[in-house]
Amino acid sequence: MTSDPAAGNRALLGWVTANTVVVVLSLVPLLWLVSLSFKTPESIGDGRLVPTDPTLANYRGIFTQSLFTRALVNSLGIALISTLLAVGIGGLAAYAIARLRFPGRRALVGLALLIAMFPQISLISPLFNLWRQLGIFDTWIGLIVPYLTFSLPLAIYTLATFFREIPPDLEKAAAMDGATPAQTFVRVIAPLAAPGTVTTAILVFIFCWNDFLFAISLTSTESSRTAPAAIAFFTGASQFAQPIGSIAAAAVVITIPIIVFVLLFQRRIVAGLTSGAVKG
Amino acid sequence: MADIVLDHVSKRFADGRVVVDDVTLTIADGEFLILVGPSGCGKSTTLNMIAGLEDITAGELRIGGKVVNRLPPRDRDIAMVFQSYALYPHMTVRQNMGFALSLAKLPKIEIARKVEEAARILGLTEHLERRPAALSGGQRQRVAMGRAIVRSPQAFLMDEPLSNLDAKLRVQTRTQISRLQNRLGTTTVYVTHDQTEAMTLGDRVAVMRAGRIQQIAPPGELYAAPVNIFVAGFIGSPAMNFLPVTLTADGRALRTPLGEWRLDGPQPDDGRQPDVGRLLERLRRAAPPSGERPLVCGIRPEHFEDAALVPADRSGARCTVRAEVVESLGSDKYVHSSWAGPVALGTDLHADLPIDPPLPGSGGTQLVARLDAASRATKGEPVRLWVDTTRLHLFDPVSGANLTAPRV
Ligand SMILES: Nc1ncnc2c1ncn2[C@@H]1O[C@H](COP(=O)(O)OP(=O)(O)OP(=O)(O)O)[C@@H](O)[C@H]1O
Ligand SMILES: [Mg+2]
Repeated sequence: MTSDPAAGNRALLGWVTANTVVVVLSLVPLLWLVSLSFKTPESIGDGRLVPTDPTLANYRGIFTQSLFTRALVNSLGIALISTLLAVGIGGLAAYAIARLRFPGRRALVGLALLIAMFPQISLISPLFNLWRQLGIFDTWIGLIVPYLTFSLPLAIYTLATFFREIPPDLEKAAAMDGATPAQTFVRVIAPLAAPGTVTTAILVFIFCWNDFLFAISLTSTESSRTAPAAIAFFTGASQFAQPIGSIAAAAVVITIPIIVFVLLFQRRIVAGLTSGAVKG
Repeated sequence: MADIVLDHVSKRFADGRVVVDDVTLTIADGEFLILVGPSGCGKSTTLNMIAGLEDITAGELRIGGKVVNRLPPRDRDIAMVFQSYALYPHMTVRQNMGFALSLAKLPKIEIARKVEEAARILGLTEHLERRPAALSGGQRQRVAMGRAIVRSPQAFLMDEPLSNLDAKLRVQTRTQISRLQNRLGTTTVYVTHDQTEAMTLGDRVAVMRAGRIQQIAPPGELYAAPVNIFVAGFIGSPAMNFLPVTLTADGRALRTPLGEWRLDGPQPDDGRQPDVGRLLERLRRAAPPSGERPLVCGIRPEHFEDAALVPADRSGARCTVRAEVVESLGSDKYVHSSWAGPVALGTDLHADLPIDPPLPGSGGTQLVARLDAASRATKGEPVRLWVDTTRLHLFDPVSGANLTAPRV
């Protein structure tokens, strides 16, 4: 830092301005969304940030439609199952990558990362056709599979970083203490990798929960349509009314779990992202 | 409790390197055996094979008479103390020590009783509910020991368990380990490259070099009768001095860089000294006289003395060196000297030995003599030394074998 207090103040001012701009830019649309969700259809277009006569009608409306409630159940179910599978399978794969010296280990990690970077949009029409032929179009499985494809590499990569930080002597000690390899994993390795597992689980959950592309392309009915996709099917009160209020309310509802997660585990997520990024 | 037998055991790693080469070793029931050797000589690998953490490439390992080559560690009933301690960070001291017992499905009350007993022996009672992160290095080391003793296993394996402690704690803990082993009487294999630990702890010491056992003997015998140059140079601190010498054709004198030393002077009168006659006889038996031959002469620092403090009629050789460094330890004086010229040890014999490189600006051959504190030796001045020729070791310069090892 500079010794000149004026220059120090100027630098501080610069930082405050920059941060304010960023925060305002990202928060204004969110505030606008919240505001819209409390407005009546008549006042939607009035351009005010604070609603004149706030109403809960939009929220009541979306929760009385099975279109949305059913979609919430789908979203929750699909995201949770995908997360469990990704962390479970990814954990085992990451453990092997971190501990075993097998030929092609590096190639495997590279390939996994390559898959994660593959443009998702290019997979949509092949998957659409394939899923229809396999009979898993518009099912939970039909969404869980592509979610796993794209979240497993991330899970493996992050978890392997955490496993690598656990000293191998602990496994030897556990073996000497009479543990089977499975007992060693469950009672020694997994608890030590718990922070990494939680981080990974949250990242995977957010990815699945937020997905729109696969959800809109690979579902057609309420049996598997997730919340982001369901919002696109909202209709207004009459044929000519726009369902803007309902859409805003639904968007607020599906954002809440993410905000809660991120606030609860903020430190963990940052730690997980950076350790994955730096150490790999 | 049980004996451990390694019968021509070898280890070849996937990269083709043979790291443990045909090791045969019998560790008696209740014995404390030290495995010592320079870094990378295969000590840990040997220990890991006994533990079951590494596969055995060839040979047979028997514990208590049973071949265990193919048994996983949990079926060998052996406990191990690691250099890193390898405590489970997420468990309390109590859980760390009780982990093996809980895996063995002992009743909870039984586990608590055994853990508390071990904690009492090791002075860990007030730390039982703490995590390893909240303990000092010495306490962690004791938890690692505790984890081994709660199980009352057939044998303990310890891989440099003290090397992460500071010097003072290491001495204390060394004594504790020794007492503990005496009290429990459990067969123990202890790996170290610290020779004080090797000399003070064990019933017997096995010296390893490059995957091979060089000599297995009680510490005293190892010191007095090393079988080759490596053992002679590795055991003892400061290390044994090595001089390039020539045995004269009559086999009764050595031509050394410090002058000619006759080996057949008047016999010692007190009868306690090993006499030169027998040294020559041993030499003749190992290497029948055949004209002059080059040898390596080994002399321990304490087998020198200030010539002024030795009766003039006492047999032995006398020579003069320049004292480059004089260290006064109160009880003794160490005189360091060196000179240029041929050295006794080729690089391959020298490679693994803990012998210091020559002092900067000094010659190739180094000499350390331990003299009585009354010696007048001063830095930079010549000092007249007396050599106890009855205590010399003469080695074959090619094979390194000791041609004069006294029978003990
Ligand atoms: N998994 C492995 N694959 C290949 N070589 C190995 C493996 N593990 C150890 N080695 C090699 O085997 C040799 C002996 O290793 P070991 O750990 O037994 O030495 P050590 O005597 O215990 O040495 P230190 O005193 O440094 O602990 C070393 O040269 C090491 O590089
Ligand atoms: Mg080692």
